[in-house]
Amino acid sequence: MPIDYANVDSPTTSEKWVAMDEITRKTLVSQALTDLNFSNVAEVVTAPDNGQLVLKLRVALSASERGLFLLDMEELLKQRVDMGITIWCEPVGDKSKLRQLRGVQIQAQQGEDE
Amino acid sequence: MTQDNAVQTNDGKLILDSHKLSYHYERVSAWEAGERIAPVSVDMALTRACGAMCSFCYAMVQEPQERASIKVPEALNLIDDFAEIGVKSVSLISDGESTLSKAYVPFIQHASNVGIDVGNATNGWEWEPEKIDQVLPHLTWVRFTVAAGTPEGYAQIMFKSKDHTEVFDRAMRNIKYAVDLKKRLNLGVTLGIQMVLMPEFKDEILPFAKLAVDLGVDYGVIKHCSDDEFGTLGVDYEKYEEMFHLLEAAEAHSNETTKVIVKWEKIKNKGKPSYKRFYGPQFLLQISGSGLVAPSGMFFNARYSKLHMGNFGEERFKDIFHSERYWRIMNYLASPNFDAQTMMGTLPIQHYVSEALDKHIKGEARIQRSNGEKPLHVNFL
Repeated sequence: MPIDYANVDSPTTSEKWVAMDEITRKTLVSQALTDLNFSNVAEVVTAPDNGQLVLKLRVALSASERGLFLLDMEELLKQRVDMGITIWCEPVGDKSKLRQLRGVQIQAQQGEDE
Repeated sequence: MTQDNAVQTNDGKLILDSHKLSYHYERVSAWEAGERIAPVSVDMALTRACGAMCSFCYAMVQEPQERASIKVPEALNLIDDFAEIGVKSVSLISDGESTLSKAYVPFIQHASNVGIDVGNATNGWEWEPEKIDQVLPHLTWVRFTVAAGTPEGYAQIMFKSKDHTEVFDRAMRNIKYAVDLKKRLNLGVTLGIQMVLMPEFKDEILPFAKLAVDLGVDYGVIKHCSDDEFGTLGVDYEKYEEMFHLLEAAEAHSNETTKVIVKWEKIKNKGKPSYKRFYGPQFLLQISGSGLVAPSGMFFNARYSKLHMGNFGEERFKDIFHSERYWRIMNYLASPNFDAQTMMGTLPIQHYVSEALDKHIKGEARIQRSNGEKPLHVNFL
């Protein structure tokens, strides 16, 4: 159990990544997904400067499949593109018709560039 | 109030604003030694459905990909798996109103029969006397969500508008029935009501405290409201401080029978944890009412798919627990790739445990084995 990381900071994106505009970052990530044979499964939706990517899954992955699959993908993207990258998927909004009356909207994206 | 924020009740020491890891020291030691430990507690729901529409409900941001319906045999198998791997308690809370599930009564009775403690948080709306009779003797605690002390405030926060006070009346009727049944049968179950405080509900704080006393429940607790990392629910943590005097006045309502308790530790926290790594889920796991197994309710939404471990409706929980994916995901949360301060919502159910384990690892406050009197609900972390 890796419990010795309590004081360690999480990796951040490189100056090179931050200096790019988002279109360039998305192109870079898309190319990496293609090279890594993930492009038929996922596409990049947002690629902000903090590296918190949002991906859209093109196929349905079962609950037992998606965890490891996406962790592997993240690790490969870190190695290939930028160590500060973290991947998330597009969120799903509340399906409760009753609670929807509250009008709460879950954010579709995160980490937009300021 | 003691160091562990315990409150003395007629039934024993009640800890709501801290953790109980020192009573599970063997598991802490095993974890520290790198062993794969079973959770002490599991927080779960038997359905995602709910008839309420609470404005503070975190379930609004917890929608996973699937909405599978949990069948009775699956729920009973889950209990057997918990018993086999060493889970000590189950809380029916999480992201749905479990009293609506067909599995509700058999699940509780089976857990009780195999020696697993069960607690239940409910709005009490569909918790009629016939159901109460069947489950109350098997429950360690029941905590009713009571968002406000006035019928109008309650209906406004938990249902369609302040005019729908029938939901308040129904809940109060059922809570009173449970209080009476506890007395009549001399049951050990603890009964409490809980207000999830958002700053805009401040006028309901004192009526809530009075209601707890009037109902004669064992406690009324006021806690913070969790929000996701994007502030979707709009909780302004800076405004809690303005309510401290009201919260102190609420606590002063406590009497011999009923304790009014404020979760000060979380309310003063302002939503940002002191820890970077998230160790708590290894001790306190969460399962969605969709059957999804994820380390924490913070990760039920499809957004956090990389942290989804499986679904106990599709495979046995014990197989998920023993799988490499379960442990790789737990290890990910303990690695630098995960930052608890920026990558998850505020004040998860594992907050106290995570904070204590972090301080333990850093040597700031080592968890000590407790040989003292066991608190109430010791198996609920």
